[in-house]
Amino acid sequence: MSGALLTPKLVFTIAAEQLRLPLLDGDLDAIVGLLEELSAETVAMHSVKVGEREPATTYDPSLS
Amino acid sequence: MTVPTETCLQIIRRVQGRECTARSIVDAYLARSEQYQDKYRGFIQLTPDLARKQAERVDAIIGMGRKLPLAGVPFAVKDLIDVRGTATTAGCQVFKNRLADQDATIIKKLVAVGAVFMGKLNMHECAFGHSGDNSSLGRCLNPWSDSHSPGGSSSGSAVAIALDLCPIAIGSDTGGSIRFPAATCGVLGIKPTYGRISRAGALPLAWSLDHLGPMTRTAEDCALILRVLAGNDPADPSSSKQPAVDYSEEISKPLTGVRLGVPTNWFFDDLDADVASSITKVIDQLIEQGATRVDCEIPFLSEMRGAHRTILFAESANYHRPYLESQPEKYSPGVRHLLQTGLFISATDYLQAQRVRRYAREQWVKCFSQFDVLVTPSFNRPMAPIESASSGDSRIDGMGGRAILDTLWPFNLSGYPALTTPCGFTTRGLPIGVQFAARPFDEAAILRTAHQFQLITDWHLKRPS
Repeated sequence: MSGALLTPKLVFTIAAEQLRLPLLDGDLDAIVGLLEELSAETVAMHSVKVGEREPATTYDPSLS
Repeated sequence: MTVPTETCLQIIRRVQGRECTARSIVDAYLARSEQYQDKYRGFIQLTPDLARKQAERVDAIIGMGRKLPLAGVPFAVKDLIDVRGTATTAGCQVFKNRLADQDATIIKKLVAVGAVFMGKLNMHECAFGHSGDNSSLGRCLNPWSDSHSPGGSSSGSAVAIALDLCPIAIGSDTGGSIRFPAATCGVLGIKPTYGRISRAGALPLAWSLDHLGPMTRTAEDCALILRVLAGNDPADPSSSKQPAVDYSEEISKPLTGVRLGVPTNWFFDDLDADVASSITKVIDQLIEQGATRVDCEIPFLSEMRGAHRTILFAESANYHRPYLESQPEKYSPGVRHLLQTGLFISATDYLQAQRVRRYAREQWVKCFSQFDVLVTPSFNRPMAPIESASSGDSRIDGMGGRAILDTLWPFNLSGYPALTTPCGFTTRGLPIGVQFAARPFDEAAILRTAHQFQLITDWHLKRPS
């Protein structure tokens, strides 16, 4: 989810209607903040030209 | 009573040679553990009755003239590993009454060769954090400084080795959770190759990043334990079929001709002055032992960082989702927020992370062909005092800047083996660790480097006063 699109209202709606996730005091602001930070952290990951590679489905590092 | 400052090898020799009993050894370690429990809270649960029963069984077997590879060696495990009849809490109120109905594979393997289980060790709640000081079942302290956390998430495992509460402690490592507390507490810890040690019977944080591994004081002991723990396990679908190696034999080889990779990027960025000085000295000492230096650039680390975060958040949230729905109040707020956040990661982002993981691993194969062992600091700066490192804060470590675990998680995403061993102290008296990493399934290379380093230094023998 792009950090630029996030608002507390949107996160609340997704939590309530899609995830059916009960939120306690302080949860909403913390989630919004973390999602914004996570979004910034993943910019470089999204820029990788992975070509036709399939996702890693085996994690044995000797088999790339 | 035996003073419990012995290595595993010394204990095995004495018990197997009938100089003392396994029962007397475990009694001494239990007494020491009880003595330090109130202050340091290394354990969540000690199991003295089970320990004494297992020790007496070992003595009976030895009495029949049989040999056991780990005769009478006490061990303890991070409290996310199942031991039949005990609770596996993961340091969290949600799992406080989760009784295990069978032993994890690693417990079966250790007990079968004569090791004696002592109890369950403290940890950062759900293994999701690096400070180790917020367990809802009791805060763990760093034996080197009352004002510092021991690091996490395998905090109790590191404290147990640093205080000689047991000679082997098992931890888990999803983004540095064995190596960070081990380095912070001045002990040795290894995260083997992904799939090297079975995870069957261990409560997960993120399945595709989780590794189990031992902490010990010496590389010799670690080699011995890894030989027992390594190997395929049908109960763990991610367990590798690569044959285990006699690591004890491999580590005695000198470093002559070993190509030592020294990264020119990432791992040495923003380094604390004391850490920089210690690591420079380690490199010089290894070169004096016959290793040759190869400067190298480790590719794709910025891209891998986002992939590691995405996979960690998504997989952990997926596992915890039923509990987040039914009993969210039982998590501490900081950990709950991290887990809830993972539920908002899209499937396409998760798949992009796994594609980047595959791509980065392909680049790493080429890079790691230039050297045999990579040397890096185990952390770029020591842990801050407890009040400023509170894990009640759910900010992601180092978000937007250099993170304290940035030297460690690359080996979880790649699955490559890495270990930390002590190599000095800061001017404030806190331990510093050096990390060695190698190609997949070449644990022998990093254990050999650590052993040869320990032969010419005594950092691993230092104990908190």
